[in-house]
Amino acid sequence: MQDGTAWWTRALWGRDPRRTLRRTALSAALLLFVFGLCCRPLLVRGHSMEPTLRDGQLRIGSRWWIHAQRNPSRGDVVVIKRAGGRNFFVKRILALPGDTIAFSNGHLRINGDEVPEPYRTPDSDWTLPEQRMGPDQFFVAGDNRSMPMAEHAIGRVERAALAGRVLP
Amino acid sequence: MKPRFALAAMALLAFGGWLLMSWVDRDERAVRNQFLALVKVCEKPAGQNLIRTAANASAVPAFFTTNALVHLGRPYPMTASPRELSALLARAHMEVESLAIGVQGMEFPPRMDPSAVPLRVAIELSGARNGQHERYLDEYLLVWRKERGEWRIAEARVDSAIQPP
Repeated sequence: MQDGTAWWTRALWGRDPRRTLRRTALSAALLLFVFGLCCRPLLVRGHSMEPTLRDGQLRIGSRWWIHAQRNPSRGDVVVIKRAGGRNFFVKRILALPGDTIAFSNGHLRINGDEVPEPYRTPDSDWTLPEQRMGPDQFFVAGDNRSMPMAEHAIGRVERAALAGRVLP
Repeated sequence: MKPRFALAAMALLAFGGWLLMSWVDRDERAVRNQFLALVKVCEKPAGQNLIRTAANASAVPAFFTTNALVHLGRPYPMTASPRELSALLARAHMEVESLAIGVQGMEFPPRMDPSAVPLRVAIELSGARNGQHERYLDEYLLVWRKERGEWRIAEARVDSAIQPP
């Protein structure tokens, strides 16, 4: 070695340990800021959100959205917390707090009115009797309505379980 | 950078790691190990023979307290005792060609009762039945209590962020 230090020491710390430390701290702070506050990368697994999201797709979930406002709109694709905080559900919000929701032969009815859903698969026979959301509840479902309802994770989600929005 | 400084830094890191490990609740560590052992028993690799299936099914009640109640999620939403669960697992293993349980997340909610350890788990059940691939995501809340010297499940119920309609 030119400066007399062992190769493994240089590999570990670089030529200038202070500079290495500064760069490491800066990178860690940047990563923490980007992935801790702004967004999180999401790898889509499964087919429940097809055709909007496909198995294996990489998307970005916004976290700013949740810090700024936890008032998603109907039609937003949201990230829902699961135990452990490393895996999430990704679903579409169909009904807002206080709304009534029903499915009749695949057609979505919100507050009694039929709502067009251009994002979903066309072949659906879902049927669900009318039910009202609580004051902090949202109704979520996937876009792939050709799957039987029983195989699908659909239902009510509390506002506190929402962890962000999937960016288009 | 002097080698002895690097060595000291590594020793400090190792000490920090040891300290972190010792902070982890021993009960929680034991519960985690028990849960992972239960997952292993419930899985079925492709081509598993009948003897192994029977042995696994008979091992299931040992993971539960005598009076445990288990509320299962999909694909068998029902309430079962440990004995019924054993029969159910044997039946499920006979029906499917393979069954894998992916543990996607685990967290220990705060302990209100010092004699119980609650554990929330997010799991992914995937398997092949009649050549068709099936996949279910669920979350369970498992309440563990010590019985006969081991942590066993006293109550299990579905506790998903998405509540079915």
